[in-house]
Amino acid sequence: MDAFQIFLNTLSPSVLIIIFIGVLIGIIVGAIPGLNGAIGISLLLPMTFALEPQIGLLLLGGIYMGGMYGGSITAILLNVPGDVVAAPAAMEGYPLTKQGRAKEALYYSIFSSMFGGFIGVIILILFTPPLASFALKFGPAEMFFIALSGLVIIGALGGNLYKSAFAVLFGLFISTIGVDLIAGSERFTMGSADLRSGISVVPVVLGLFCLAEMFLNIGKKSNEVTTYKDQSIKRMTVIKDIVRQKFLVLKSSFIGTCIGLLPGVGTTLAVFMSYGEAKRVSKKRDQFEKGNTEGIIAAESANNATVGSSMVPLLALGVPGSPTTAIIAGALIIHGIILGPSLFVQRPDVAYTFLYGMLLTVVAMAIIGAVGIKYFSYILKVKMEYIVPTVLVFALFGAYSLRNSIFDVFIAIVLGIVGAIFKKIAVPLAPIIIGVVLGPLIETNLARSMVIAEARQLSLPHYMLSNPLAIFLLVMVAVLFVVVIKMRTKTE
Amino acid sequence: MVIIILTNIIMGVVLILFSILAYTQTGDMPSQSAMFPRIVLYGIGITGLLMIVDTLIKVKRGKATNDSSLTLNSFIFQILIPGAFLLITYQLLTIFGFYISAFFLIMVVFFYQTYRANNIKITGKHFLKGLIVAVLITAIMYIIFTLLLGLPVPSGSFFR
Repeated sequence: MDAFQIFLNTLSPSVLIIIFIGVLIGIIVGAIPGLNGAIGISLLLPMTFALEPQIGLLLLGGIYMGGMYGGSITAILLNVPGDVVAAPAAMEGYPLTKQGRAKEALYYSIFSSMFGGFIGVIILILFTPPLASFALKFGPAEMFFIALSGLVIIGALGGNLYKSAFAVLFGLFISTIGVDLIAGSERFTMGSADLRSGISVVPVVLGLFCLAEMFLNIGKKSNEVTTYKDQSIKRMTVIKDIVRQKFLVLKSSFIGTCIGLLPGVGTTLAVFMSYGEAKRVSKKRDQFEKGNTEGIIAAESANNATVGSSMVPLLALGVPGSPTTAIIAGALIIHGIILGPSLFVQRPDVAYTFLYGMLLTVVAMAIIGAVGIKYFSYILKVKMEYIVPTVLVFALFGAYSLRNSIFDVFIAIVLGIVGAIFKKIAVPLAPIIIGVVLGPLIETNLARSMVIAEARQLSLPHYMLSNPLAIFLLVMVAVLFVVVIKMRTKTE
Repeated sequence: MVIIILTNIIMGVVLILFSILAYTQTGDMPSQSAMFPRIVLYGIGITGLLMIVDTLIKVKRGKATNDSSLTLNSFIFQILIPGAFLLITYQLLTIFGFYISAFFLIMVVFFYQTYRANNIKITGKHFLKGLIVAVLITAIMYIIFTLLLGLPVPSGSFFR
C-alpha cells in the first residue's frame, strides 16, 4: 500500500468520525479542571482494544491533540489552568475575559493551537520515517544511549533535582520486578505468582495519573462559572492577526517542536520558554499579564507543536517522550505492535495512517474549537461529584482490561495511594512512567552489549564506544544534559 | 522550616532503608539478573543520601524552601480514606464482580465528595441523587464495555 493510498484511507468517514470523537473527548477532558489529555487517553484505552490498531491510535492521538488545547479553556474562562502548561493562557486570557473579550481570547487560543499543532505534525511526518530508517542501523550500544538520554534529561528537569532523580530510579526499579527475560530468574516477586509477569505500564499510569489525581480532587469545590458580557469578534479577524504575527507563531512553534523532540522534557518548558521569549521581544511588554494576545499565541502554538514532535522519538526509536506518549506506546504494545525503527518496515499501514491522521486531528481541533466556543462554558459546569467517581471506576476497568488481571487493579490502587503521597511531597510522577517504559529498553540493550563485548573479548566501555555513532550519541546525551540544565535555570 | 527538614530527611532515610532492604533481595539472583537492579538501588540509596545532605546544607544557609503540601489532614481525608474506599472496592471486585463494585464505589465517592466539598450532611435528596448517578454510570459502562465492545470484566467468585 503506497503512502497516497494510506492518506486516502484516513479520509474515510469512519476514520474521520473517530478522529473527531477523539479530539472532542480530548477538549472536554482537557477543559475539565482536574482532568487532562493523559487521563483521557488512559480511560479510553480499553475502547481501542475493539478497534483496528491504527484507528485506535488515532483516537488516542486525537485526545492528545484536543487535550492540549482544552486546558486553555478553563484557564481563559475561569483563571483555573487545569495544568501548569495552561498557566500562560490564564495569565493573558483571563484578564481578557474580565474585559468582556473571552471569545477573542478563545479564538486566539484555538487558532494558535491549530498553527502550532500543524507545524508539529508536519515535523512528525517529515522527520519520523528518515529517522526510523537511520535508526535501523543502531545496535544495542546505540539504543542504550538513546534510552539513557530520555532518563538523563527527565532527571534534570522538574523541581527538586534529587526528587526527580528518585522518580526516574523508582520507575526503573518497578520495571525490574518480575521474571528477568534474559536469565529467566525471578526478581522482587516476593513469591507472588502475579508479580512474575511484571508490572505493566498501564496500571502504573492509571494509578499515578488517574487515581492519584482523583484523590487530590476529592474535597475540591466545583468551579463557579461567572458570566461576563462578551464582545463580538469575527474568527477571520483573529486569524488575520495571527498570520500577521507569523514570526511569533513560527518561533514559538519551533521552540515547541524542538523541545517536544527531546525525550522526557515535556510541554511545560516549551510553553514557558515561548511565552518568556514573546514577552522579551514584545513591543507591548507592559501589557503582559494584563491580557496580551501575543502571550496566548506564543504559549498555545508552542503547546500544540509539542504533540506532533513528541511522537517522533516514540515512533522512530520506540522511546516515549512523555507520559502521554508512554500510554500510547502501551496501547500499541497491547495490539502486538513493536515500536521503534522496525515499525515502518513491519507495519507501515499503522505508522503512516497515524502520521497522516494526526494532520486531521489538527483540522478537527480547529473546527470543534472554532464552532464550539459558545458551548465550552457548559463543560465547566460539570461537578466534581460526578467527575471523581466516574474517572475512578473507568480507571479500575482500564487497569483490569489490559491483561484481564484483577491483580493489575490492585497495583493501580496501591500506586494511586503512593502517587497521591508523592504529589503532596513534590515528587514528580512523569519520570516514574518514563522510567518504567525505558527500563526494559536500557537493561536489554545493556545486557546485549555485555554479551557481545564478552564474545568479542572486549571490555564493556570499549565495545560500547567502539563506533563513531555510539560516541556521537554519548556526546549528544552529555550535551542534552547540559542544555536542559541551562534551560531549566533560565526558565526558573 | 521544620516541615521541610522533616519531609526531605525522612524521605532520604526511607530511600536509603528501601535501597538496603531491596539490595538484600538481590543476593539470591544470578549475577546477570542482579546487575541492573543493583545499579538502580545504588542510585536510590545515593539519591536519598544526597537529599539529606542537600537539605541540611540549605537549612544551614537559610535557603530551604518548602515544596511539600502534605499535612495530617490532607493525608487522612485525601489519601487514606479514598484509598480505603478503593481497597474495599478491590475486595468487592473479587467477590461480586465489576458492576456491583463499581456501583458501590460511585455511591460512596459521590457522598464523600458531596460531604467534603460542601461540608454538608448527606440527606435523602443526596442519597437519591447518588443512587441515580451510580445507576446511570454503571449502566453506561455496561452498555459500552459489555454490550457494545464485548470486553471481559471481573466476574467475582460469588457469581461463578
